[in-house]
Parts: sequence; C-alpha cells; structure tokens
Amino acid sequence: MPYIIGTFIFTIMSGVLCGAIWFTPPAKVLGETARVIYFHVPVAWISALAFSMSLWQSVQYLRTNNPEHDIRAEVSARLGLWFCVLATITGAVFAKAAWNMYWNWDPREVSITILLLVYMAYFGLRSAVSDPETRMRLAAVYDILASFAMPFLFFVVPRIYSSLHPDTVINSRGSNKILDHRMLLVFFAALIGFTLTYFWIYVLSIRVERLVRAREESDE
Amino acid sequence: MNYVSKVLAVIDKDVRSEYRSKYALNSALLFCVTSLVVVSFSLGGSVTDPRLQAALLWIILFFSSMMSLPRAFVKEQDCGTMNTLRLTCEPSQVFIGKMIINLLLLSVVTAIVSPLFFILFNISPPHPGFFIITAASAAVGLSAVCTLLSAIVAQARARGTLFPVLAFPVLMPVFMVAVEATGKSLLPQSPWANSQLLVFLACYAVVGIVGGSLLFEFVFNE
Repeated sequence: MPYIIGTFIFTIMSGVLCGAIWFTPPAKVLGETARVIYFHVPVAWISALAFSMSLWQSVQYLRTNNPEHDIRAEVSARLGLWFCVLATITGAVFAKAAWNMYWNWDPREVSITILLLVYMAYFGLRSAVSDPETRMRLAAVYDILASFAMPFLFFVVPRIYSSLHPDTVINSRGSNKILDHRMLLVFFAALIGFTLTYFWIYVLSIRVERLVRAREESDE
Repeated sequence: MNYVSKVLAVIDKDVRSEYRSKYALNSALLFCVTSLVVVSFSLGGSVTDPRLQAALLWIILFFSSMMSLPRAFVKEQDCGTMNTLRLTCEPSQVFIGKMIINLLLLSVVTAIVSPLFFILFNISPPHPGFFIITAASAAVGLSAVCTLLSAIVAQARARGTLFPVLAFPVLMPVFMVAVEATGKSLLPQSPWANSQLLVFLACYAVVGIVGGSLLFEFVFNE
C-alpha cells in the first residue's frame, strides 16, 4: 500500500513539474516568471497547513498530556519551517524577476519573516529545556501564544504597508482573465500534489521521531 | 483572602523586595539611559524625521524591556521561591500580580526615558496625549506577553538570549504599530485620524492579558 501511494504522489508531482514548464502558456501580465505560482503558492499553503496542524496538536497536548501529540506538533512545525523557507526563497526569486528586488518588506514578506522567526524561536526553546516533560509543555504554550499574534499580523500589517504582492491582482474581480483553464488545472494539481506530499512526509517523520525518542529513553 | 487581596499581596511582595535591592529598576534605567546616550551621541541632531525618531525611541524601550521584564520569574526560580508562590496563590493571581509589577516597571522606565529622549533630540511633542495613550497601551500588551514568556524562560537554560528570541516575533505587531503611532504623534498635524492604531494596541493588550492568564496555568503548574 505505501508503494502505491508513493507512486501516485510521484506521478502527480512529475505531472505538475512537466505541466508547469511545457503545458501551460506564459501569463499575460507577468510572462514566464509567473510559472513560479505552481510552486510558490502550494509551498506557502503547505507551510500554513503545517503550522495550523502544529497549533492544533499543541492544544491537544495541553489537554491530554499525551507525548504523541507533542511528536506531531514538533514534526509539523519542522515541516512547516522547511516549506516556509522554500516559500521565502521562491518568493524572493520571483520578486527579483518581477520588481528587480529580492526583498522590499511587502506585507506578505513581513508576515512570512515573523512566521520564520516564531518557529525558529520554537525550536530554540525546545533545545533550551532539558527535562522532556517540561519541554513539551513549554513548547506547546509558546506555539499557542505565537498563534495569538498571527491575526494581528495578517489583518493589520497590510493596512500599514502597501502591497505589491500579485495575489491582489489574481484575487480581484476578473481573475480568470489572468489564469486560463490549463493554468488552473496545473495549479490545482500542484496544490493537491504538494498537500499529499506533505502528509506523506508527515507520516514518515512521525514514525522516525517515535523511534528517535524511544531510543533516547532507552539510553537514559 | 479573596482574589484581589492575593493579587495585591503578590504585588506588595515584589514592590518590597524591589525597594530593598532596586536591582530591576536600576538595571533597566541604566540600560535605557546608556543606550539613549549612545544613540544621541552618535546621531546628534541629524535625525529629524519623526518616524525615524519614533523607531529609535521604541528600539531603546523594547530592548530595555527585554533586559528587565524576564526577571519577574527568573528571580523566583533562582531564589527557590517559585514553590511558595504555587502553594499560596492561584496561577491567574500570580500572573495578574506579576503583570502589574512589570507594567509598573515599564511605566517608570518609559516616563523617565521618553522626556530625556525628547530633550536630547530637541523634540517638543505636538500631541503628548496621543503619545501617552500609545505608550501606555503598548506597555500593557508588552508586559502581559513578557510576563508569560518570563515564566517560560525561567524553566529553560540560556535565559538571557532566549527571552528576546521568543519575545520579538510575538511582540512584532505591537512594535510596528507603536512606532507608527508615535511617528504620527510627532507630526504637527492631528494624529487622532489614526486612532485605529490605538484601538489595535488596546485589542492586542486585551488578547495578551486573556491569552496570557489562560496559558500561564500550564507554564506555572508542574
């Protein structure tokens, strides 16, 4: 069964990669550079999904005190951080191509930077506490505390700083003038493919993390 | 003893021990004044943009709170008095008490440093009321979040470096809006058109207090 799922995910992702390069036409406004949308948006979506998952598992950990939830929260936060780094890099490369600047403190760039800092701090906190039970508890609390700041970031920052982010172009009325049906097909296939890949890595990492922790316990 | 008198007891205890040692207040004030002098000395009168001045003021205040606010619980942990607190008070009473202590500390520091800043940078604030409300509501949010984080780092190693790392991303919204609002209050035109910034700071303060006292229970009880 795992092989079937693995093959399925591999097929979708290969299809997305080929489709993004050869099948879709260049975008009208942004030209060839717009192909980044098939990677940048799904990767950003996955980091949001992984961080929400981490938050949910942290809440569950505080409710039940079951270390299994802490494993899931940690694994999800780690995946979210990696996907967040990927989203930052793909975004910066696109920004260089489109606006001739890797970084210009666009509201989205502010919020993704803070997300990166929050979860780096989360892992900093984890490594600074030696007792496993305390570490799980404090990490869960910090995860939830950080989530309180997020709504302020996403609703307020855009009102203070003006945005160049092309989302506002795509999401505004008449969006289908920019994305034609072939682009939409590859785009949604990419979203599904990346989501499946995330869950696949997530399940594998949970198994690895369980083994790592079991070994640490037996060493003590 | 009822709820309020226990909160007052926590505050009273900290005020007394602070009055004896004057450690927290002195270190925060010295840090603030030193960094203020360094900034003013190196920049002189060359900074005339209100937004830049506001950013400098908040960077100084922010880092001095990073120095002084973690002490609330680190001190208890180091003196071995954390368990006494656990035995005598409910977690939320300890949280509110410590938060008010941190707020007092921050208010005193701000009240001394801001006038000095205005003097050294030759600013006569055109809208002091707007600035005071900004500083006060930012201080409430800051002290609520920092009190919770102080209880977290008290149980960790490398506290001095860990605290700003944990605090900065969470406090980033307060910092940005406080800089923006202070910048507006230093401009000659009326800042009250931007009062939604103050509403934002107030909302953050409320979320900080409510969220902090809810989460504090998990940090405080072992």
